[in-house]
Amino acid sequence: MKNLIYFLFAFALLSTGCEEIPPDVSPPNGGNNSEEIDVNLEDQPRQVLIEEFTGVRCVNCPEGSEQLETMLNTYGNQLVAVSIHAGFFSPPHNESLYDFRTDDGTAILNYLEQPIGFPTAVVDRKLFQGEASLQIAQSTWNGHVDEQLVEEPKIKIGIDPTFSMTDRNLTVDLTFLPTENLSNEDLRYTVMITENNIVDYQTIPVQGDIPDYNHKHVFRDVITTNFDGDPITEDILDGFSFEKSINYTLPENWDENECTVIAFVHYSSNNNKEVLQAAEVDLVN
Amino acid sequence: MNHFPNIRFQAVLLLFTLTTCSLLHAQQNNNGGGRLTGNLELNANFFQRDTLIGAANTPQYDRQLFGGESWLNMNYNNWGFDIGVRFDFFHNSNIINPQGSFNGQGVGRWYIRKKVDKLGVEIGYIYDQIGSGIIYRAFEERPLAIDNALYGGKLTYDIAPNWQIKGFMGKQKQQFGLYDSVIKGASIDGFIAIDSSGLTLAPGIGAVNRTLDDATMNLLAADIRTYHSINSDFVFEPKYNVHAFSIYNNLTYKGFNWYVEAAYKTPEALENVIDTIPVTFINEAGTAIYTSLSYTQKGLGITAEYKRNENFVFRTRPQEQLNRGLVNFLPPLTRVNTYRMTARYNAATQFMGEQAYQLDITYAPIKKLLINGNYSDITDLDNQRLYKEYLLEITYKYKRKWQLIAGVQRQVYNQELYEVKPGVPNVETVTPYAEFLYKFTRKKSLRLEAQVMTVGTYIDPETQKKTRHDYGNWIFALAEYSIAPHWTLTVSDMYNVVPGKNSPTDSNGKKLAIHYPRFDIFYTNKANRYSLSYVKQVEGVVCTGGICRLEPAFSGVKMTITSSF
Repeated sequence: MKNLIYFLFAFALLSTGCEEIPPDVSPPNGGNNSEEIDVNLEDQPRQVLIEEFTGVRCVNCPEGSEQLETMLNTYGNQLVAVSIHAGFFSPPHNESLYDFRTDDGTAILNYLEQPIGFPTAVVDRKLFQGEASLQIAQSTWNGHVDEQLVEEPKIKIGIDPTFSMTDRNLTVDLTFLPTENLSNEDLRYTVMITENNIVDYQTIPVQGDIPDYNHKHVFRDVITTNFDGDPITEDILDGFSFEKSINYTLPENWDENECTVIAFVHYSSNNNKEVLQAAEVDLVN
Repeated sequence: MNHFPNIRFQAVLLLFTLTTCSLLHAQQNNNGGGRLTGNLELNANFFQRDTLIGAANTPQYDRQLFGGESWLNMNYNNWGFDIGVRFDFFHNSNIINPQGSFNGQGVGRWYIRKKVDKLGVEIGYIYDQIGSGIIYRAFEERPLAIDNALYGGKLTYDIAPNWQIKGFMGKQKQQFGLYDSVIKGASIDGFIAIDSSGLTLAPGIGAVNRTLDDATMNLLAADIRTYHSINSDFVFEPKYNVHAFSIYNNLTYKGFNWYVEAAYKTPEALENVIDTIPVTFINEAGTAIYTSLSYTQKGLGITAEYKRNENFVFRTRPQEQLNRGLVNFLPPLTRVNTYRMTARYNAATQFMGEQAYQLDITYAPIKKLLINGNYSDITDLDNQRLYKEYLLEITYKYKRKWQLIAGVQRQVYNQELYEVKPGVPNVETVTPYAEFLYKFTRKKSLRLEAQVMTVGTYIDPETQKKTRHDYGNWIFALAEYSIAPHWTLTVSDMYNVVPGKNSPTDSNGKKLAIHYPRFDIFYTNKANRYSLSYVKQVEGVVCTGGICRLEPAFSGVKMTITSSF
């Protein structure tokens, strides 16, 4: 019995006697950082890509999408978001107006591994310390975006789209400005189109399937040749910019005023798919 | 964090140790030396795409076509040492993530154990628990890909006859790596027999502490910081350390057995499940109580159980989901059903809050007849129904010639909550079933099963038509012919006789009545067992020991080999 009392006393001490210094939970960057500011390419800050995987049958995904909006309000231009409809919950409802699934979206999901559950996202295609896979749970999105923003961009990306209403031809001119020397082995760039504010069916908690859900950042297509990016063949030298150009015909049923162009530079080996920098502009300025 | 290099080194070390032991074993066999034992489990799955039943859109069905996993376990005992190593292999395996494909191989476990006088020492990957596991349980559950071994050390000390103190510290296993949080704990367990009255007590107390690593805390703090833009009332300072305490006792007196355990966990960041709170984490303390009272005498067994838990999810880091990173285990309070239909709907433990009762009575009025009645009831803490089951089963044995088991089960299952399907009503089932076993000779026998599951109806808000719950009504039949001791042949079919709301449809939207057949061949030779099965399996929630996960449909061929040596 004496031992029992010692034991209880020791644990009571453990739980009450040792005060912790808590982590800092003050507002990020001292407040709201959502104001979007146009910056010169030279002044471009680190911008992080978050690829959310979702589906119109995924009841928990709207919660993830809501968090994505909160994060965009917080991080502003420094967060580039895309919602890819792929996987188990992505087949459309019978009543759906659109099928958001795409071959490239499905290929990207397979390339970045299937998640254990939804909502899920991949941040900068990086395997973070403590995570079992590239696909990470909603509760960790903020933290890993924070981690990535601490780094300086190794390369900066300028996007200049030109869209012709007559033939719906889109030309995307890209400027890449390295800020350090990099080996171009396994380094690629990917350009994709997303569309905002598409109203269609979505399963949500309590109400079930609703017809008027506003789908945001919907992944439409990769417009580089390969879904996993095109090789960068130029020498990547600090301060020496290089350019690329892509032509694409925008499908009739996409609203060009709601579309954005996203570009990012990333590795593409089996062990390293990390995104170095991402950028996004409206398709029609 | 990846620990492969360490594990490779450990594997070499263990292999060396085991090889040395084996050589010594060979030398010592003549003079009663050590003992080398082991077992192998191998699963191989051949995937056959069947979009109709939903067996599609995973890497295995789409392109890999094959996946499997195996575990080879070896243990050696000598000179008071227990030494073991387990090799795990996963190749295009869907066991860890049913939607994904996992590849990995290496040492899944090693351990060395030794008792020196009153001191017990164990290092390596350790499975253990405190009390019934409410505050700590490190265990392996292969069908659900749970392996929560603690990689670290454990000491025990016999402080008095029938009294032992235990302490442990380490990190939890994460497939072939480790989580970065540190887990430590201690317990005192005793046994008291009060004179010759027949009264015995087995009291114990335990405590567990988990300290988050900096990376996990940074993630947590980054998330909480964003709550300022939603409502700063939700902002809280998360704790690195969480402590869980429990006190428990098992009392026996004549035919009575009474177990009780109460536990408390200090406030920590928990993943929020309340829809009206728009943030990811809340800061709450947890409580749990579990008690079981049973009475047995010749021909009669009665067990009553009660459990209540609130905010009692305990993970190695709060960001983990589903069955990952669990530090503790809350005992399930539902009957463990084994028939295909009666086990279709299972109640997964709700860590954030549930209240459950169970009463089980077994009565044998005569030697040939056994009657089992079971009632279980689970609600949330607002008294909303989660699960309810009534079951009555009768077993009649006629000499050694034949045996009949017949029963009926009634269930109410909150599908909206357990399977996160919004707007669906509770699934209400009535399932009569029977099993008949007939022995032609001492070696040859035939076992037949018949089960019928009928479910309730409701007006589907989409179609405004009367619809059956979930998949609707099922019939199941099985015939199994055994030729002892080697062969067992089984054929069964599960038929969705009256399709329901969630049954597959054809291209015109018409519900389809689909067969899910299964053929099995089992061959047993001494300690080796082989099976080859053709399986069509409907999606469902699979539970083992109160922990569940949603399993997608399966179509293909399964092969298993188990061996002990």
